[in-house]
Amino acid sequence: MIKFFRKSKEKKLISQQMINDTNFVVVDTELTGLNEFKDNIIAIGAIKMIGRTIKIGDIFYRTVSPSTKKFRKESIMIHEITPSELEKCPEIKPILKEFISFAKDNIVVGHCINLDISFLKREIKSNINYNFEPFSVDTLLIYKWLIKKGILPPEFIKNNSLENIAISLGIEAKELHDALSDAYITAQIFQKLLFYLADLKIFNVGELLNIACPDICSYKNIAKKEAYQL
Amino acid sequence: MVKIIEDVIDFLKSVPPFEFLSDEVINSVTVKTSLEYYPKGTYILLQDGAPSEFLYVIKKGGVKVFRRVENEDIVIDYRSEGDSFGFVSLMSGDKSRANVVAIDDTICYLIPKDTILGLINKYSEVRDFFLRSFMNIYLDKGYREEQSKRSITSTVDKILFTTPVEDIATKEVISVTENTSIKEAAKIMCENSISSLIIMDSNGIAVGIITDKDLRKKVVASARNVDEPVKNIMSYPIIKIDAKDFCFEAVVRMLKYNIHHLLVIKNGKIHGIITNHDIMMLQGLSPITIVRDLEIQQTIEGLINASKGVNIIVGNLISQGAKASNITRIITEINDRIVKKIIQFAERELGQPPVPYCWLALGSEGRKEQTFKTDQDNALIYADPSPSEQEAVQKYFLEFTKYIKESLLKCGFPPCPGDIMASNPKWCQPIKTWKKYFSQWIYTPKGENINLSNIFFDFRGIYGDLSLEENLRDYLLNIVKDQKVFLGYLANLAVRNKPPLGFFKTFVVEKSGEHKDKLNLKIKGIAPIVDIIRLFSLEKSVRETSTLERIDSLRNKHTVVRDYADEIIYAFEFLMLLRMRHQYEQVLQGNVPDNFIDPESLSNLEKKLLKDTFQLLSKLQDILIERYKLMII
Repeated sequence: MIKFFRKSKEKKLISQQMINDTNFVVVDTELTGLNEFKDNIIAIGAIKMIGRTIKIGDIFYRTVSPSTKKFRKESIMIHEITPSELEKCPEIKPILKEFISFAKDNIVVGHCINLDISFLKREIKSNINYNFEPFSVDTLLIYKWLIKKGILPPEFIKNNSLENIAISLGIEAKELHDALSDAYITAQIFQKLLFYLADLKIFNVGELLNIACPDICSYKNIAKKEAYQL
Repeated sequence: MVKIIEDVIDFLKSVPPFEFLSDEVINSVTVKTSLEYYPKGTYILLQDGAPSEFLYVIKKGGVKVFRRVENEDIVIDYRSEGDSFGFVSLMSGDKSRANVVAIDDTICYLIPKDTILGLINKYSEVRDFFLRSFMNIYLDKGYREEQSKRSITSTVDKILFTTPVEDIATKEVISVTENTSIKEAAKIMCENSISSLIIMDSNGIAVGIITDKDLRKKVVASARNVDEPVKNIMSYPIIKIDAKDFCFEAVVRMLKYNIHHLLVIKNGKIHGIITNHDIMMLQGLSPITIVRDLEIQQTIEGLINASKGVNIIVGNLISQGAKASNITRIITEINDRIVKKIIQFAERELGQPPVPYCWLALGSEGRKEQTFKTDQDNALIYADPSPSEQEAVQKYFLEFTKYIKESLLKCGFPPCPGDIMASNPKWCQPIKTWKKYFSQWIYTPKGENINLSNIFFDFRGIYGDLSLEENLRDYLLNIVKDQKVFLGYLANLAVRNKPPLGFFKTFVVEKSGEHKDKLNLKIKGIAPIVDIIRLFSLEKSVRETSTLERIDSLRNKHTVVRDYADEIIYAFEFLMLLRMRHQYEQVLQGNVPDNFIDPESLSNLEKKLLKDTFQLLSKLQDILIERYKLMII
């Protein structure tokens, strides 16, 4: 209850901020699979933004040794990280701590971000007993919303994958699928989408959250699966 | 390394001035860099707005830089991928001087002010690039001093490492058989004034060498019988060096064997001899030694030999980063000496001239802007003779100028294809005729007359009675300055060749023929600057003939030059240097030097500077058109 109260108070504060002055951290994770209960994080990539400005030097990229040895073939294919490569990676605990201090209380942005957050949340809770509950913005939701508003062409509705969305917006997407490259592409997508929002006079964070904060309960993992075109 | 950082580094590496920096340094820049996206139509910087806090490097798209003056937009520039903007305002901290608007969806890398200032302080290449390419006011003295120091300390080594042995070796090798007597050998050395003699065995193989030193030590000092065969006193084995080896290698061998002579071998055969004296001469191969050498020559053949080192000197100066104006000054000095020497020979051969005269250099020679040996462009003025001696005087000078023309040809100066030479009776005239010519050209400025004035009005007295030259110049400057129609014709000529820049600054090059896809530096770049400055000089009665000296003299006299002097000087120096480097390469390959460069062969930095230069030129032409509106046809 107290937590909830704090959160809503924070939300009120943050909602009044201008998007252009707000710190964002664009995140992407690489996973052993998409099952929230069985699978694990194998890499975290993140890049900072201030408003629409992408801070190229302000990046975070770590691969970790997953707590489960089980590997899905398909995720190996997606990320091109082989099990033997992962063996050499360090433990997750210190990396999660580093990630938390990197992300601070920035708004977390990502493509189907709720999935990444739910994995991060679980790993962070179980490994270092910390409640990771950031405000978040899903670029896919902004994209779909802009289509609905008629700002982006209706035929874009079929695009779900990061790659297709990037291409539809004229962003180079040649190096997809390592977590940091994906985060960087997501950041560029977010950068462009913010311009469309600005055209609609959407300047503050509250409006942005209303459009793009994923409702974690009702969100189905199917979206993420579609997004990865599995 | 992280992929996205790597991508930025790769991009910056292809962009001046970052291309000069190590990966490590570029990496340190990259981590400070942000990425911004500007949809088409976004104003990135505003005229009179806040100073720029970043250097903007365009990753994708393009921008227009323009100023709005009295409700009219004046486009200053278009910039595209790899170009940058925001520098001047960043450096000066002044409000932005122009609007910058994205003319396409544009992505820029933003490098913060502090990072750029750090680079400028630390890396001279970066400083050099920004200072130059933004044609600046920030060029300070300390920087220039640093540059010149650097080139002085490395001069000698560079020459040793870049000059092949065959370039300076004595080609004539005199040899004797090993059984020749010492007396006979010494006689041969004296007759040929050489300091060494190669000794051959009965099979014609070089087995040893005798030198002055051997004669002194082994013969004179030890009272040896001079009828003994030379093989008794020769030094052996003889040390050889390949003709293609660099002189440095020769120095190493001489030191190693403690000898002063090496036999130069080319394709397995004896090619010549190189001595420590040759090396010393090479190290002392300065313009001064050449000039001194020219001074003592008494024959045309001597001059031909003495002037041989000119190309090596030019090559060395280019590789040491000398300014084009310094190089042309040295070439002018040397060529002037050759001409003076030849004129002296002519006086010696044909007797003293009957009346005072002055030898004039015209065109590039008159402007002291010659590069490699170019056509003869010259003329002769003589004092007005009395009617009775007119014929004899004319006859003398025609013979005189013919002698000079042929001697210059022997020294490697081909005749002028348009026959603009003193040997042409038309251009060998008393001063009153010259005045008549000049006034005709100025008062009836038609086709040929305009072209002639462009060549002749750069006249410069080289030898003889220089008061004749002064007299003619007084006359010219006096009659030309108010001749608006004539000056308008000159202006018309100066704007005829538009700088070769299309939209987005792609080079317009030759469309067909031998020089397809090449850029004619002379016609498109150098000549328009020369023409504009000549015109201004005639307007303002400037007596200097070289373009750079004219600019200096015009600084306080001409408003356009006052505003643009530094930029024009820089652009001119740059074009001249580019041409000189190109021609030097051609000379090295044994080709005839020309003015056609391949823009694709230029580095990114050179391309950028060339574009800047052409933009300046275009601006100057626009000013000229504005000033001479009525006369431009």
